[in-house]
Amino acid sequence: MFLAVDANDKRPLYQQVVDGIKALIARGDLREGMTLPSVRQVAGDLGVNLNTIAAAYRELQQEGLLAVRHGSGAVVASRRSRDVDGEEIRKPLRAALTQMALAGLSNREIVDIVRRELESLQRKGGSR
Amino acid sequence: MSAQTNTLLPLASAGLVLALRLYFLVRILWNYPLNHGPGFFLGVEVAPGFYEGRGAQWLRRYRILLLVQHLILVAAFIVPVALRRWSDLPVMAPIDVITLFSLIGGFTFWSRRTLGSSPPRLSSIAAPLEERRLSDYISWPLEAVLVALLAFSWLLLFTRGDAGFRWQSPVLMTYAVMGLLPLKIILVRNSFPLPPERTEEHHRWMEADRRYSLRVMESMRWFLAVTLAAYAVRHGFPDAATKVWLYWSFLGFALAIFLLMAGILIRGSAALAAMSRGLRPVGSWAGPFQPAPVMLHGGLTWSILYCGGLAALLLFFGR
Repeated sequence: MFLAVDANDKRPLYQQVVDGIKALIARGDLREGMTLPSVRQVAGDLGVNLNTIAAAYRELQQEGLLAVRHGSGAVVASRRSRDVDGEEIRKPLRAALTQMALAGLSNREIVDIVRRELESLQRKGGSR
Repeated sequence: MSAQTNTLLPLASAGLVLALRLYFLVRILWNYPLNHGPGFFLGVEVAPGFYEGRGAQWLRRYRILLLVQHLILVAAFIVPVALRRWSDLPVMAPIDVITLFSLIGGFTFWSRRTLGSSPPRLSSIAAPLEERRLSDYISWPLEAVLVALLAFSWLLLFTRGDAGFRWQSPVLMTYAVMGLLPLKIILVRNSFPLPPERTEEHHRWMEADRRYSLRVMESMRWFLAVTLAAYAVRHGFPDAATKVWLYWSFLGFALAIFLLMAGILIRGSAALAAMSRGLRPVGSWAGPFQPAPVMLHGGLTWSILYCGGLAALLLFFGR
């Protein structure tokens, strides 16, 4: 199980780490109770600043996905983000749909893309 | 114990070490720069046709240094044998370590800096999401047993050491054993980003390499510690009957560890070479956020300190 980051990605590095870990949790690759490597190890492996990984872990902790304990590393706490209301969760979807519509995709193509992404997410993680 | 036994044992141990090193020279080290195929030299990516041009010169330089290093090792074996100074035979081990690190390690460092000054920089990299704890690689209870064995040997030598006992070998062996512990920690903590292609295979190979290096070091440390215990028993027990069976038990144990180490070296290096075929050697690429490492982080400092310490001890005892 690997965490990938890309220097050409427009998202900040810490956001790529957050999104990468979230994707692994959503797919079920990272299950509740599993321990993540320490901030120092991930930062060393990727060659990035400690604060970048610490910020990513902090955000995941605030969302309730990770429990960070000093000295014993970070543990996957839950497979559901806490405090997520319907409107908040729709925002990124709306932004992505807008992008696709602006790119000239038809409704049918957009639905196809969404279905494929959902299937790929569920293929690895099993049914939710 | 007879004088013949006292002669035969250091001679046999040194002979075994020499035989293993010569085997390693022929089977592994001679073609080591080509381990990842003709596209690489000692882990540095080189242009096609490199070995038809200046690469041949680089390879020649490497092999000459290798021969020089092994000639020094052979001399460290032959000179004490010719002079019948059996107690000087163990000095072969630190001489081997010092020359190997300084000549071959130095050449590797220099060639990597010269040939691999600008390895390709990858924009996308990956890191394994598996926790790498020291305790997964280093058994602390076994470390405690090792330290206890060293302490037992020293206690025996301090309290009951006979007139024939010399400080030189115990000090060198203790230094060699304990000085390798920081390197084990450096190896476990060593980290490097994985390339986006064949990530899993690169990771598996790097992990296997880490475990192989640790196992070789571990068996070497145990071999030295048990040999030291045998030495302590030989010089610490006045009762000949106790001395003989204990001494031979320790030596038999040391020989078994040596054979295990030889097995790990021979099988492990072949398995690693097979695993690494088609993969990029570590250091032949750079991540987007840091340059490619020339060697292990902290490895250079450790090598200088360790070899410097060994050289200082040799000089001190050689006065």
